[in-house]
Amino acid sequence: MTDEKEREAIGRPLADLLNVAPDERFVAGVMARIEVLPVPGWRGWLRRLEERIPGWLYPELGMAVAAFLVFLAAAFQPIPVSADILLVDRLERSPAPAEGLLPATGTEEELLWWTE
Amino acid sequence: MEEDLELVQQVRAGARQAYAGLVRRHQARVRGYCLGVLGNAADADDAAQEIFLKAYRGLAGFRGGARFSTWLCRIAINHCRDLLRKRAGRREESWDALIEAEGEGLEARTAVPPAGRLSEERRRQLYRLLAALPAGAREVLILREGQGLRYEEIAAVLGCSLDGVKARLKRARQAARERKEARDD
Repeated sequence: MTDEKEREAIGRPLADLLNVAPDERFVAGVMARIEVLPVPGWRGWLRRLEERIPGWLYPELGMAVAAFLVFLAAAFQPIPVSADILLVDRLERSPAPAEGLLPATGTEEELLWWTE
Repeated sequence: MEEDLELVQQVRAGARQAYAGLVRRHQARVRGYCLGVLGNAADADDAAQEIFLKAYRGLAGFRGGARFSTWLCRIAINHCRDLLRKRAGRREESWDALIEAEGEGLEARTAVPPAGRLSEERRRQLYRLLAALPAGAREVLILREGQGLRYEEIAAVLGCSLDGVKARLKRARQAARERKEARDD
C-alpha cells in the first residue's frame, strides 16, 4: 500500500476521529480548578506570602528592618575623628611654638603630649 | 508560538486568567490525544483537565527552550501512560475487555461530540483499532495522523531521533493495517 493510500485508509479517518471541537465549558472547568491553585513561580510565592501576612504589616515590617539596618550601620561605623584632626585642633588652640622649642604655655598634659 | 510565550509570561507574572488563553489554544490537541489513547470522551476530558493543571503547576519550570505545545504534549503523553498503567490493573486497557465488561453501557461513555464526519460505526471501529495497537504504536500514530505533528515535533515530544520516529511510524502503520485487514476479513 502506498503512503497516500495508507493515509486515506487510516490517517484521515483518525484525524477525523480525534478532531475534537473546542469547548468553552472545558476551558471554564480548567480555570475553575486553577482558581484554587497557587500562582506558579517566585511571584506566586510572594503572593502566597502576602496572603498569609496581612497587607498592613508590610510597611511596618519594612520600616522596622530599615531602622535596624541603620542602627547596625551606625553601631559598627569607625570613629571618624583621627589623630591628625586632633593634632590640627590642638595646634590651632595652642600658641605656635618656636622651632625646636616646647610651647610656652599649656597644661602639664599638653606639655607631656608635645614631648612624646 | 510567540503568543504562547506571551501568555506564559503573563501567567507567571500572576495573571491567572491568561492561562485560559493557553487552554483555549491547545485544548483540541490535548483532548484529541487523550481521546485517542484512552478511548472515551469522559476519561479523555478528565485526563485533559489534569494535564492542563499539571502544566499550570509546572509552568515555572517551562524554560521556553521547546515550544509550549511540545512541552504540553510531553505532559499529556506521560499522564496518559500513567493512566494506562493504572488501568492495566483493572484490565481496561484493552478496548475489547472494556466492551466485555460494560456491554451496552459503553455507548453512553463513548458519546463523543461528533466534530468529524465519521459514522458512529466507523468511529467505533477506529477506537477498536487504536486500542488493539501496542501503546507505543498508538502514541506515534495519534501524534502523526491524528494531530498532524511533523516528524521533528514528534521526535521532540517522544525524545527520540528522526529516524526513530520514522521507524516507529512505519511499524505502527503496519500494525494498524494488519489489524484492520484482520477485522475486515
